[in-house]
Amino acid sequence: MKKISSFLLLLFLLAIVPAVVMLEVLFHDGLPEAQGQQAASQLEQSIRDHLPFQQQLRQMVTEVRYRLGMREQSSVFISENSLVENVSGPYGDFVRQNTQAILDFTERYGVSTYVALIPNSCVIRQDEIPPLATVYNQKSLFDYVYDRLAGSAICIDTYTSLYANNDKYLYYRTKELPTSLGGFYIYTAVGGKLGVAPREIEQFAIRPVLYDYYGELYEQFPYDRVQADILSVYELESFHREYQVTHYDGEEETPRVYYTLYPLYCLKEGQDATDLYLGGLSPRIDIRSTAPFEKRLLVFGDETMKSYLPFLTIHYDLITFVDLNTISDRQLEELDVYEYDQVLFAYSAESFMHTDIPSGIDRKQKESETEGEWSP
Amino acid sequence: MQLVSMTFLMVFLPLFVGLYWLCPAHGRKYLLAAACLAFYYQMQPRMFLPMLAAILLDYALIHFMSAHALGKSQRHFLVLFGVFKNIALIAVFGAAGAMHAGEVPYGYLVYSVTSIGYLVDVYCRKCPAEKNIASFLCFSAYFPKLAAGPVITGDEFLPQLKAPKPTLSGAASGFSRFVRGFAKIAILSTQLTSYYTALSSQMAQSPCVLAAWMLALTRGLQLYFYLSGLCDMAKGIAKMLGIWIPANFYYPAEAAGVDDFFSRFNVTVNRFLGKYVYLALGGEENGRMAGAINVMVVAMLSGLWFGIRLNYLVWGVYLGIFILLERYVLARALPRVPVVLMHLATVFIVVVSFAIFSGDTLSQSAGYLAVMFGLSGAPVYHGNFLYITSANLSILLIAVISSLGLVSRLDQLLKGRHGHLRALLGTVFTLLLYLLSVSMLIY
Repeated sequence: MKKISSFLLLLFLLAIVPAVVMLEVLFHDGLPEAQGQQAASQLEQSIRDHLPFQQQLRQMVTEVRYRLGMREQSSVFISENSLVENVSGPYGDFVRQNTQAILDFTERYGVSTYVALIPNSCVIRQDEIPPLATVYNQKSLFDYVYDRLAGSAICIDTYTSLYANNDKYLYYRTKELPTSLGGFYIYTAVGGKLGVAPREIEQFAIRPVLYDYYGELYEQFPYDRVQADILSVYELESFHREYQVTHYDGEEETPRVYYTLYPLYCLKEGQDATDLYLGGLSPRIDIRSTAPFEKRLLVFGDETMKSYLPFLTIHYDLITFVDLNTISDRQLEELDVYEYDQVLFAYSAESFMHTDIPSGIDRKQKESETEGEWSP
Repeated sequence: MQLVSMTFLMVFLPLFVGLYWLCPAHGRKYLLAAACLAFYYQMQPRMFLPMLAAILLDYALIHFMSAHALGKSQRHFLVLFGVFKNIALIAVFGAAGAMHAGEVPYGYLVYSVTSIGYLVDVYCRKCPAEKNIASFLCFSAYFPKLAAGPVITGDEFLPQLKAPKPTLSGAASGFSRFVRGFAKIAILSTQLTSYYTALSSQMAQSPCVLAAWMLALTRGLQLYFYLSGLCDMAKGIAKMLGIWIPANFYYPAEAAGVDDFFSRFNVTVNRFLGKYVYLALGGEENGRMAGAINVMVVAMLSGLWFGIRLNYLVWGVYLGIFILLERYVLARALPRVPVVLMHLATVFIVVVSFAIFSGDTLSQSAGYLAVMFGLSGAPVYHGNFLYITSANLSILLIAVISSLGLVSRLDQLLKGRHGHLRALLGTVFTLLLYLLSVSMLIY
């Protein structure tokens, strides 16, 4: 008995399992191309990526850790049916840098500038967070930033509007992003300040397009009881509009054009399903509509735009969205701020605290200085 | 490729062990030597040649020392040269490591200490000089032990290399031991490290008494599981190859006394220090005072084994004081103390010692101690401490139970009476640990 179990154990764990794993690795990635230590780390990554039953193993670890009492794993709260990212406080000097960049922008261009900081789900869905857990107070961050910007830009409070409706489906359960409904409440707060008379929710036809969406948080923590997300699109019922959404991905690439706000084509496998909102993120996106308004809006923002921007398109004949993280210097140079009536900076609290992306607008100002474009 | 990695588990180990078993008995030492060199080269290509040169220098010194034509003074010079060379390696790279200055060769400490012991043994003619260079390479650079030991001696390792004959049951039990070590690191040590990190940042921001105690306890357990995990892996691999190497940890949490703790914690290092430092300094031959000083020197070196840092030195001194108390002051009274009390007192003393060990500086450790004993005015506990501890309480309990060797006792219990059940349970346990460890590693 002992000999048989010894033989089987060694055969299984020292021969069969490694052989299967290596076949998987060779089938997908082949042998590492690098040499020396790099080859070892490449191979390590390949094994981790192509380990059979990887999803099940991850699920098992998440479950075991959850059962052992770890309701927060690597800064993600695991509640009964959803995952919530615990966004920590500011990193380094980013908040000051980003705020200063916006101040400099308003001073230099003198256009109507609006700033909306969008809270992350952990401060809105407080009932899903374990008792005693500490969550960074994003409200105090908003107050600090808005105090500094007072008089230079119009600051928009999205927190109150979202928090007042926190019993609703405002954020995805498996991705750190506001849902379309969350986007609607952001739109009502933002639209009010932009002076566009936001529509009522009853004026939209709500059409669910995907019932089983699992976002990147679920990939990281595949906890069984987390419910799949539903992706819905909101379409204005009463007034028909035609849209043209043009994505400028790179300097060399041909622009992508969609004639809808919700290109369902993006639901194809391999692409993040939330890209169905406006076709996802790009360095620059121009959204033209047949709206009977001659107003133009320039938005500097992040992925949260997928939630609120489709609503704002109702009120503008042109909205240009700029992702300062990916836009090239040349693309930024080509952007003429004076073509727009209003400029909106809309970032999630996480982007504003943990990255210097908003301060990337500095690049635009530096170009203006060198070219002498700016006139007071 | 580290020892605790998917590449080692899925590629290096199966390939190496497979080839080793297929190899004729007399060729196995050459294969092992090649594997040791290959492992070292991929770990640190830039340090490969300097380390190889150091090993070859030791080999040359031993070779010359064993030559019959050599006089006593010449042999004396050679051994001193070899010992100083290795002490210099420890001092230079230890200091470099402490100051984060430059690359430090992987496993230089275990290698240097092993070499010192072997040089002295050959000089004292307690051990024959190894003529075969492949065997000497295996002894000096046996790759699984370089990370944390055990420190092996020539007389226990080298004779086994002549014609190692691994057996099926030995290989299976070696593999189980390897998996146990792997799991100690991938599961317990990793989780304890994240709890320890959370407690450290808690202590820096808003200290409380219970957090300080938990911090010290967690550091001790984390260190134990990390080091004993590596040593179990080394022992397990050796067993798969048909080689026996000593264990380095014998459930130190069960110690009844600080002296007993030292005989269970980092055993082979303490054995080395006892043999080559304590006894070399004369032990107790020159009186009690000299003996006490020698004990203290050994205790300090035990601390410095973990790195050149004042905290580690003071950790050794602190525990050394208790050893002296046990040996010289309380020697008659202690046998009358109930064993349970001895256990509890030892746990208390050792946990406090890890508050010293945990600090980056002495003042930080003093701060931890002040909080632990309520001298800093910090509250007993607060919400954040309860939150992070409630999330880690289960893993802490599992760690404490595992450190007590209950599984080993159960194994012993089944050994005589229920052989089949023991084999089955052992296999299932190994499979479970393997599965969990791999899952944790990719998580």
